Parts: sequence; C-alpha cells; structure tokens
Amino acid sequence: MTSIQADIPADHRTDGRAGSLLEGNGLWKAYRRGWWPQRRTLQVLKGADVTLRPGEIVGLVGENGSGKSTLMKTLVGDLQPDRGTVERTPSFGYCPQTPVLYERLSCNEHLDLFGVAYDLDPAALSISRQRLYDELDFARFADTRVEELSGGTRSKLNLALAMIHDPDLLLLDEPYAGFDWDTYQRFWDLTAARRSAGSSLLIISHFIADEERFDRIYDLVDGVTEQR
Amino acid sequence: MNTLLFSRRWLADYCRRPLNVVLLVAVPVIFVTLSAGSLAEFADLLGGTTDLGVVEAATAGWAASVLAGVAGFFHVAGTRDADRRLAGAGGGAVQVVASRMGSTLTLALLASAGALAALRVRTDVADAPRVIGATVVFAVIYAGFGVVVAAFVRSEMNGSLIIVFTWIFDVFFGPAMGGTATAIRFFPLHFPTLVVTDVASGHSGPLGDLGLAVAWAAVSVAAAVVALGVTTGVRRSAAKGSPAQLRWLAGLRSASQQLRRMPVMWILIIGLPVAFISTSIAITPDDPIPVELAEGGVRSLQILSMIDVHGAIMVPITVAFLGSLAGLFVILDSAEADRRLSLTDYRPADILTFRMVVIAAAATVATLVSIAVTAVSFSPENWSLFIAANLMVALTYATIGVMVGPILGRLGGLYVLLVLPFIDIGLAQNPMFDAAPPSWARLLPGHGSVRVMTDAAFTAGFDETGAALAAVAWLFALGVAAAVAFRRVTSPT
Repeated sequence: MTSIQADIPADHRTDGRAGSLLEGNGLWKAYRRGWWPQRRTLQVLKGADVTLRPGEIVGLVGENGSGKSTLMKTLVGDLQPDRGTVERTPSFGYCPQTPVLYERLSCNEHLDLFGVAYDLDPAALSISRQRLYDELDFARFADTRVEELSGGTRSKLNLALAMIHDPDLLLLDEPYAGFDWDTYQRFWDLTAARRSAGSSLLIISHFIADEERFDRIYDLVDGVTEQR
Repeated sequence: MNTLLFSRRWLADYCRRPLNVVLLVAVPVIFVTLSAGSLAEFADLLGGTTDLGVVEAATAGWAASVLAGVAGFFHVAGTRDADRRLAGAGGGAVQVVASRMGSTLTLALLASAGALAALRVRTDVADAPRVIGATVVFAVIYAGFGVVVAAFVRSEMNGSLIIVFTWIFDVFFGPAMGGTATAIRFFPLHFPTLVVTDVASGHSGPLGDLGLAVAWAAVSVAAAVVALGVTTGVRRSAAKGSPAQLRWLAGLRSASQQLRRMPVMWILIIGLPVAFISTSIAITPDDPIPVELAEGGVRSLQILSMIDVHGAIMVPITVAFLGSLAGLFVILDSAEADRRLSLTDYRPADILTFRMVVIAAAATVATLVSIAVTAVSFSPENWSLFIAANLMVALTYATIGVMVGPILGRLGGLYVLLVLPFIDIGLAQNPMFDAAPPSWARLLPGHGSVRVMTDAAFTAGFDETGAALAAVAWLFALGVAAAVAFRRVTSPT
C-alpha cells in the first residue's frame, strides 16, 4: 500500500488530534540492499506512530540503529514510507543528523538561499538571519565558506537553516551534536522560546539528562514507537 | 554628479604626487623622442619589423602602455581602503567605481597624448588615425591591467615589478622585435603591435587583428571594473520581483557561486585545452590525409593537411571530456544538499535547471577556450557553425555527465567519462583514423555533432542536416535521461 501524504493548512489547527501539526500513523519502512540472489531486506519501521500538537517539545529516543533517523526522514518527506501516512503542516523545518550543506557557500549565502526558498522577503530574511547568528553565536563566520568551518559551526548553520523561516514545526535530528556547553544551553533557550511562541519541536536525542526538557518522549523499540 | 566630482578629486590626488607627473613627462621623452630610432634598429637586428618608421610609431604605444599601467596601479593601490570607506559612508560603491575607472581612463588618454606628442616632436606620423587609435588601445589595455594588479597586490614594489616585467616581455618578445613563439600571441600588446606596424598576423580568426586588439581593451576595462567592484565592496542590491522570480534568481546565483569556487574545474577548463590541443597540433606532421566531406550534396574524399584535421578534431575531443566532467562534478558535488533543498519550496526540476544552467556555462567556456587555442593555427571555413557544433558536443557530454553521476557515483562515473568520449569522439568519429566514420560510430552520441563540425571546418556550405538533427535528438534524449537520474537523487526513496 502506498502512503498518502497530505498537508494540513496552518489555519486548520484546533485542539486535540485534529489540531496536530504532525501526524505519522502506522509507518513502515524497509531498506532493500544488494542484487538478486543476494538481495537483503532490513525492516526498520514496523508501524511507528508520532503526533505533535502546537506548543510541544517531544523527544524521540532509541538505541543506535533503532531507526530514529529513518522515522525522522519519513516524517519530513525525505523517505517514502512503505506503509502508513504522514500529515504535517506546510510550515516546517528539518535539521538532518549530519550537516547537509554546500561546501563552497558561506553561512550568509546558505541562509539567503534557504530564506528565499521559504519565500521570506528581504527585510524578514535579514532580521531572521541576524537573530539566528545572535542566538547561536556564529555571526563572525557569516562570510566564511562551509569548507573552512569547524564541525561545531557547521552544526550551528545546519540548525539555523531549519529555523530561518521560523516554522510552526521543527524536526531536529540530534541537532546539538558538536555543540560546546554554552551553545548547548543556548539551543535549549532557543527551543523554549520557540515553544512559547506556539511552535512544536520533535527532537531526536541520546541524552537521558534532557528528559525533563521534553513534554513527551517517544521510545523507538523494534520499529514501533512507545510513549513514556 | 558625484561621479564627476570624485573623478576630478582622484586626478588631483594623483597629480599631487610629484613622481607621477615626472613619469608622465619623462617616459615619453626618453622612450619615444630620444630612443625610438635605437629601438627601431634593435628590432631590425632581431629580425623583427624592418620598416623603421612603423617601429618608431609603435614606441608611442609602448610608452603609453607602461605609463598607463603604472598609473592605473598607483591610482588604485594606495586608495583601496579610502575608496571602500567613502563607498560605505554614502558615496555609493557604484559611483566610486565609475569615477575611479573614469579617472584611470583619463590618465590613459593623458599618457597616450604625451607619447604621441613626443612622437610628433621626433618624426612625422605617416598614418595618423592608425597610430593614434592604436596608441590609445595600448594605453587602455595596460591601464586596466594596472587596476587589476592593484586589486590583488598591496605592495607598491611588487605591483610595479609585475607590470613592468609583463610589459618588457610584451614589447621585447613581441612581433615587432621578431618574436614568433606561440605563447606571445596571448600577451596583451601582441595584436595592437601588429595593427600599428600594419602586419597581418594570419591567426586572428573572425575578429581580425584590429578586432582582437579592441577586444583586449574591452576585456581589460571590464576586468578592471570587476576588480574595482571587489576592492570597493560593491554589494549586489536587493533583487526585486515576485517571490517565484526571487527564488529563481537566488537559486541560479547560488549554483553559479558554487561553480566559480571549484578551482580544479577551472584549471581543467582553461589548462587542459591549452596543453592538450597545443601539444597535439605541435607533434602532428604536416602530411596529407583523406577525409570524406559533403559539398553541394555530393560526398567525396578530399585531401587535407593532417595538422588542420588534428586541430579541428581536438576541439570536440577536449570539450567532450571537459563537458562530461563539469556535468559529473557539479551534480555530485551538491547532490546531498540539493536533496535537502528540495524539501523547501524549490522543486527538483527547479534545482536541476539551476545546475544545468551553470554546467552549460562551464561547457561553453571550455568550448570557447578550446576553439581559441585551436584558432592559433587553424581557421575553419564556417566559424559560427564550427562553434555551434563543438558547443553541441560539449553540451551532449555534459548531459551524459549529469546522467552518469547519480547512477555510478563519483569514481565509477569518472572512469566511464574518461573512456566514453575517447571511444566516441577520439576513435569512432575521428577522421585521422578513418576518412569516414565506421557504421557503428553512427550509434554513438557524438556522431552527428562531429559530422557537422567536420563540415563546418573544411567546407563553406552546409550539407549535414541529417547529422545536425541526430545531434539535437541525442541531446534531447540525454536531457530527459539526466532529468530522470537527477529526480532519483532528490526525490523521496
């Protein structure tokens, strides 16, 4: 069965299930590798469900290789589920686990490109760009090309690209890998501010210490999500 | 208004340095009035131009060029930071650049006037319009060169040395002094010197010696404007348009920025044709070789010079390699990030279009460079068709690069793209091996374009309509296949 993906217009939000910003239901995903007769299938998701309502910070945890990134990519539309449906608001930002960036573009050029891609006008783009530079403290690298950036600054840019258009829904795959302690604290301040403004965040995390920061946590075990 | 005011200030600033004024007077007097005769005799001794009068006339251009070059350099080198500050303080970067360029060109005209006056003191000028025009071209070329050097070299000593040594090579190894090496054809004063001495180069292509001399001046001014823009901090003003137009502009700008920052690609695009084509032509014996050509609807074997045939066929071989590498590297270099970008409001088709535009630009530059290198020793019968056919080869193979990259990856794609153009253009379609391509060669993507190229290279008429249509069909089919392959990279799997 093919999945049906439909987007929920932002102004259709209401309380409860119908008002969710993201709904993934019964998601199945398998990777098929190799050629016949040695073709192998690795079943990763076996009916995972995820729901995010406005103003929530939700964690997604699981062991290495449990399928967290696969589930995240399925939710953002980077992977097609084998079964199940995903519905999400069109106003979303995605931060992949490994910084996915253009090596030869500078931070400014990245933010400009993605800002325009999200239809920000020049004034709004300029304000948003400066705000992210300040919040994540990397304005001094504005004109530096990605190929010359440290791992930590790449991670900051990677995160900033997901937030440049101030979306209603943020899907972040281990966004703070590579952050120093100060930036890590800034990150959580930033997520709290976004939640206060009504945005929702789904964050893949390894840190048990972060538990108190989440409103809810999903455990991904054997391809199925279990809410704590 | 500001531009004129600024220009006047720059000129005043320049003239208040006593050394500049001394040079403006001393160089023409020493180089033209006092030394022109000796230089003319020196040229005769070296086996260069024997007409002493025209060499004396050329000395005015030489004096004007070195003066203008040094003036352009000092005019900009010492004022870069102040110009940037003025632009930032509300002077307007565009106005600062325009005024700086205006005053530089005024200095070039002053240098020309001084040199021509010195020449007039020494001797009567036989062909005044030619000498005056050429002298101004000499000066403008070096004025632009001086500005470009100033944009990159801060040290006054180093900048002066670069300009003066380039000029020495340009003048004393140039055609008036008997210089015949192929390399000197690429020096800025090569064609202006031929114009002022009224000697036909025989290697100037469709533009002619005068056209190339003027083109050198235009390129020099354009390069100087770009260099001044960089040093003054001209920023692109915010683009205006609908959101969709802005998205297109941003996407294209981003793609072209990435291509510009691939130095290895540019080294290959410029360096490979120079090394590959020049060497191939140099080692080819001047023997006769039969080639099947169509003329007036009749196909027949014609005996051509092997050097000419090799010069012609090396262009599509080179551009096929370079086009395919441009396609492969541009697509794979950005594949992952393009996939992320396709999660925004950009559609995969938009992103593919941006990539294809810059790949086509790279393929076009590779084609023009390759043709320029070949043109040093070979002139096709039909220039426009020759250029179009080679461009077709470059675009066809660029599209193959785009298609192969996502399927085979970087290394696999690289090996395939090193072999395929060699088999297709280098062996199957190559008239050096067979007067007419073998029947199996018709099945390969380069067949149609190379037939058109051969027709344009050696016949005045056009008799390869079928081949041209086949080339277009190949390009279309490969374009569709490349779009499907790219879609695989950027779409959910």
